[in-house]
Amino acid sequence: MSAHHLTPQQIYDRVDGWQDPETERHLAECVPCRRRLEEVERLLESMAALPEEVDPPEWIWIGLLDRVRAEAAKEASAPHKTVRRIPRLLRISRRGLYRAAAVLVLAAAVGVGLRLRREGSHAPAPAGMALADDASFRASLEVYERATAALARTFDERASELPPGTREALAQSLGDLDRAIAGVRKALTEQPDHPRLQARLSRTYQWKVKVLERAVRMTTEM
Amino acid sequence: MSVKPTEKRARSQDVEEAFRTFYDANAPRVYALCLRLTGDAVKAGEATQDVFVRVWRTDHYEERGRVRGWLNRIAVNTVLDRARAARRRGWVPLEHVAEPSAHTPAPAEDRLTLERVIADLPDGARRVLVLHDVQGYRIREIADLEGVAEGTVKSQLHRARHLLQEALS
Repeated sequence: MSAHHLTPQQIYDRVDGWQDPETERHLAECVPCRRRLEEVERLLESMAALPEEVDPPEWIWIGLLDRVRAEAAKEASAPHKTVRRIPRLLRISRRGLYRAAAVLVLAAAVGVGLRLRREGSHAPAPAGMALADDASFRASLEVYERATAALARTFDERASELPPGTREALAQSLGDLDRAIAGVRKALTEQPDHPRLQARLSRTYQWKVKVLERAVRMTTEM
Repeated sequence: MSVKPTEKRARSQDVEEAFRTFYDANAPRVYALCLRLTGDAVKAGEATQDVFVRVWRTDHYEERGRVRGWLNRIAVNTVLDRARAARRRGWVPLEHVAEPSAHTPAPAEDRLTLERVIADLPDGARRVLVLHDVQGYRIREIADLEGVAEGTVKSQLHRARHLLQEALS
């Protein structure tokens, strides 16, 4: 057996498939080096066995939806309008549509909200115009609540990285939004089916998601 | 040909539904890759958004034969682009050589410990390790992606493995 053990580099070269006669001779004779080699092999096996998938938090989808809608709006306002067709592969696959239901309801809520805004904030709500049924409205609010809670948790963990003045300004904005949400919610307890109140609540939550996203991004950019 | 507003709305909803389906099917894999490459949940989330915005902009993305490999390439390029942009802005030192934090010794087979130790590796070393030992990229491919010599990738890989072993021992 050689007096010197294999270097880490020789061990790594060996696990990467480099065949060196001298290394092989040493390994045949040296038990500690064989053990080290086995340790590295086990480590590599553990890494290769790491799960391929990790569930992404919902705020990623909400932010993504905002961005692609902005792109779609830009596309639609371009001089040569092109209609995006439904991808062939996706027309066949329906997986995930149920999970998307809540987000789509939300999209509907926001859409109606925008329509109401276009019609003027003082215009009376058209008779019989409901934003969405109760269950789907509640489902859409749950999506927003989960997203804002997840973002708020991330922000709380990192808020200390921001300058005190920025922290205070953000806390004030978020406080204002929370008070607005509480106010609309209170009004909704008296008029649960009021479409304008529902739309306002959706918009306020949407704004809160944006503020939180921006706040979290600021912590990563510090 | 004119399209009625209601039809346009219905079409755009169909496209969003289809996009959500595509996202649901692929985001967990893209996010896992971004998470391991960046070692940070928020940066990984932002990179995942960037990946799917790129997908959204791509025409005929549904016709690509190997969606998985294609998305992985976009994800890797996105993370590398973001890292390069951060370096240009001077937010990340060129040679970030932080040592892994001293964790309580834990068995290597503990997946969460392994994930945490990988996340704590220096940026460059972590990316090379994840690409080579987790994703199965070749040294030459990583060198092309990172824009460095193969020898640099190899020494980064050895350093990453060494730091990983030390942290886990």
